[in-house]
Amino acid sequence: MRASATHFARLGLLVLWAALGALQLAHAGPAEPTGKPLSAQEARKWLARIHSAAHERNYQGTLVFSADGALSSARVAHFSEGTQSYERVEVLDGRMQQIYRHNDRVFTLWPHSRVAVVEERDPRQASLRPVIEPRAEEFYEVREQGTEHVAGREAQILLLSPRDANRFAQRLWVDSRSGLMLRADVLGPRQQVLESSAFSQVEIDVKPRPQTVLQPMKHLDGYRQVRPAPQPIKLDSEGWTLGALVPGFQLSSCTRRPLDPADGGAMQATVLQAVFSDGMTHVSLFVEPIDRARHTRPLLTQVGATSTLMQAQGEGWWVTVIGDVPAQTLRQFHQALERRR
Amino acid sequence: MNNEPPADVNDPRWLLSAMIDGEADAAEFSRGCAAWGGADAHTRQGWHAYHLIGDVLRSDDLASPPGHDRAFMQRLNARLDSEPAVLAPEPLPVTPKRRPAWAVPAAMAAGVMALATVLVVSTGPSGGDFAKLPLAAAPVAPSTVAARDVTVVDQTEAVPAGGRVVRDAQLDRYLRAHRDYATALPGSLPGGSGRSIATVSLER
Repeated sequence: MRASATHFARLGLLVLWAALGALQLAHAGPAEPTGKPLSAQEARKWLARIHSAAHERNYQGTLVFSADGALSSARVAHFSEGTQSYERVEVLDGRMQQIYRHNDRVFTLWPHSRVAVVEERDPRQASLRPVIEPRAEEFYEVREQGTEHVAGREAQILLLSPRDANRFAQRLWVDSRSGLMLRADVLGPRQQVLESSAFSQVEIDVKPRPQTVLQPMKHLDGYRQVRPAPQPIKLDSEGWTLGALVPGFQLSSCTRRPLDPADGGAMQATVLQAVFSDGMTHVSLFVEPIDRARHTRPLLTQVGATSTLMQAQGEGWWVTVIGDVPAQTLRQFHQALERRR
Repeated sequence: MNNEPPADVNDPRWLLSAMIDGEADAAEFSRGCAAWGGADAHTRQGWHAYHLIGDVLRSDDLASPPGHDRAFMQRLNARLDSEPAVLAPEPLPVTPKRRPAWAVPAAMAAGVMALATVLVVSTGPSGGDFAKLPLAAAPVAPSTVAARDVTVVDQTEAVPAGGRVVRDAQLDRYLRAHRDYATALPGSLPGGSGRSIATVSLER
């Protein structure tokens, strides 16, 4: 045999080339982004500014969402008077819906099916207090990347790069004067835009008009009202344990809730929903008894930045994990879930 | 082990073997290269087998199917073809304002035969600072990667996502329930819970 191991000190250039090529491919990740990384304190200041602008300013405008070439838009208004906060969101495409919020009361109207879902949200869900979770900077590096105009306003660009592969990067365009976020992109591992949401038109510091939110909440004639009552529960007392969690994610809420309160029929089945947050994004874990009619095949899919993983757990359970994170992260959540009894 | 003399010095496999051993002279070397570069699957298989033997002796992980090298070269050539032609180095604009952040390290091939030297070049942290770039002996420039490279989703088993996703209508119910929680995060716009829900509720 001629090709013994001694010959490989003089391998063909091809192999050298292949090795160099592989090296290049392995390094084909994103280049070092521009801008100096901010200190944790500076980063926290930015995030707090964004959060408080969104909750304390009066603004209205049109939001456009784009993912995988699909576009949708919503008219949005937010008013804040003292401790009272009001919000109106009208989704303009597809299955149209209107969302009205006064503090923690949220009404979701489905004009086509004439159903109104009336909810008293868990304050953690739609918090009025700007809660910046300190671990956000621990798992993202924040850089300032200059300024640009969005919806006719000057915006400061911030890049939040994840420090590990468990989450996506985000690029935020923040209104220089008010701190309101004007545009947000979710970026994939090669810095490609997975999903983008932006104001196409916005007015900031408008005169608050809370009546435009409160009036529709009072006039629900012709609407069937549904009042789902999600019960706070503990995973533990439901017989589930979570092993090693994905670094940075913490359990922020756990409830038993109807999956689709607007649907009066089959969807009244309740699910257990555990929500985990890393301060910048969140992941939901749904657990329910398996229903062979609906839960037919395991699924892993990604639309825009949102991945979904569905599969059976043991004999009797169906687990769904959703989040704007890489599919691998969802798998880790799924694997962390264990049945104790 | 097997010491039978080569049947034919023109047998491409003999040429390959001689090349591997460093015993081939210039003429044999170029004939060997020509045989390998052609479409002769036998020659490639032989080349592969000789290397495979050595590779597997060192580690099982190095085993690779025949055609792998050629497929690799074809892929690399296709990627090189999609690179913009670069004639001379040019400093980047001083203001890094809209330099695409997804510009990736560029691979420049210098000297093309079947063999090339590949330089790994980072476009560096700051837009205007060309001098800080790793020095390379070949002309370099920031490279934009062809869009089809950028949009590759690194998932093996994901259902292709897009405007016409085949997905369960009930998936949207989970999605909606998930997005109810979006508003508490600093990175979410106020209308975020309405975000693209309608666009993904597609029929099968």
